[in-house]
Amino acid sequence: MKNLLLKNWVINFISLTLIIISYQTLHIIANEPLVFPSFYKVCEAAVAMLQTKIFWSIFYFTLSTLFYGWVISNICIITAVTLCWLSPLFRKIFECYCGYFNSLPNFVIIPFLILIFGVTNNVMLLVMVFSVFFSMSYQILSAFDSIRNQWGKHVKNLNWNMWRSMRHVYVPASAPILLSMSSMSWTYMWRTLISLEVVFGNIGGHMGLGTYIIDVKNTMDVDKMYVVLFIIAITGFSFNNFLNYLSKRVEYK
Amino acid sequence: MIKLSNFSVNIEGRQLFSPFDLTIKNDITVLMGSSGIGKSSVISAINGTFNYSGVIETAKPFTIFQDSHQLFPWYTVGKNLELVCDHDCFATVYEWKLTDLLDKKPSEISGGQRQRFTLIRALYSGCEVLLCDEPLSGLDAVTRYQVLRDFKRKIKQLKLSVLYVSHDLNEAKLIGDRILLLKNDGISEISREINEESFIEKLGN
Repeated sequence: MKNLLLKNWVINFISLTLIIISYQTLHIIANEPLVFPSFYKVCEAAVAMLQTKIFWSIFYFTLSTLFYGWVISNICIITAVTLCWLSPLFRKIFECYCGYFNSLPNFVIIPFLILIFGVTNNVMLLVMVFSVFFSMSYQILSAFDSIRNQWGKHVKNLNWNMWRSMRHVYVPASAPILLSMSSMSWTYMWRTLISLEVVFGNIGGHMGLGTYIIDVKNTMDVDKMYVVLFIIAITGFSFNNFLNYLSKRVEYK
Repeated sequence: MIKLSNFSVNIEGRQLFSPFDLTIKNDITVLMGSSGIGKSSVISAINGTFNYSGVIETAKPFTIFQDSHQLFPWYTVGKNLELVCDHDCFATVYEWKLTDLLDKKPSEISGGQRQRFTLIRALYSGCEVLLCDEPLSGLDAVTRYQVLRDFKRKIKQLKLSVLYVSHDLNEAKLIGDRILLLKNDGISEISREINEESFIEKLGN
């Protein structure tokens, strides 16, 4: 029994059951079916919603936007980190920028981006990239520094060229950190994207999961709101877990 | 061969000890001295990672560091050897009865076995000069004795020039052809017959 309780899926099952019980209790105590529809009704709405094409196109749109943002931010981060490694001067300047821009909340730049790019999907992508670019680059740089301190003398000892050192030492040594950072950036961007969709989606003509919550709220399909909320949580959780799993796979002792 | 002339290591422009001359050719020289005197710095200076004064003439050196991260933990032990050594190393792996461990990761084998692989990798790295900075400090006395015995035999076979830093007089006697004591006023050779008490006395003076 003790061993069973240590398994992740058991803990997740217990946590979800507790949420469902709490929700159903709230539904009974509040007696407000418009605000807290019964769990059964939410399940019914979920089944109905998952059968519609519109839901899947919305879901796909959110995921593809997130994926583009993630790829763009990774390219930007890798470029910045590489330049920092190649040029100490660039690194000093970049670290200054990290200090300046890390303190800016992501949403502050939206009006400026709308001013520059107009009300388009690009604004969302750029806000997502901005939400992770400086903090992740800075953390990856620090992680690389510690890897260089640990392995630099061994690489010098072996007298390997840059390519061989990267291939056999620096890339494998940093793989767990890079994947764990990717997982973190994915989570930040997921939260930023959904918030953006809720607040800003309709304006940009962007139809994602966050926007859908507002739409179903306007039509008083409250049960669907709960379904979308659950799907957002589960999707974020699943991707995060998948990337953490990959990072554990390449972890070394 | 390693040839040091008028050599000392510098920290912030200050010499750690008086300059000395030293030549090591196809033998094992053990460098001993009290903590902080600069033994490891001598190794670092020779492998080019520390400031020094004087002249260093050396063939391509390979350093065995004190820390446990000698083998790349993301590769198997076999792959670690393949990356650095020529194929002759596998004869020694066989001779030292380590063949069964080639497919294992460094974290899956014992400290003694890991040290043996580290030594094999260093021996067959293609170097002529080996710099050893307390490479067996983490091992128990019995394992250390066995590893040292095998290591010394291979060094002699391959005709390498070795500078071996150690704190342990017994280890120094076991592996060294000569034992040098590093002090503030330079180096001096001590007899291999010296006992622990006299050695400690010499160390303190």
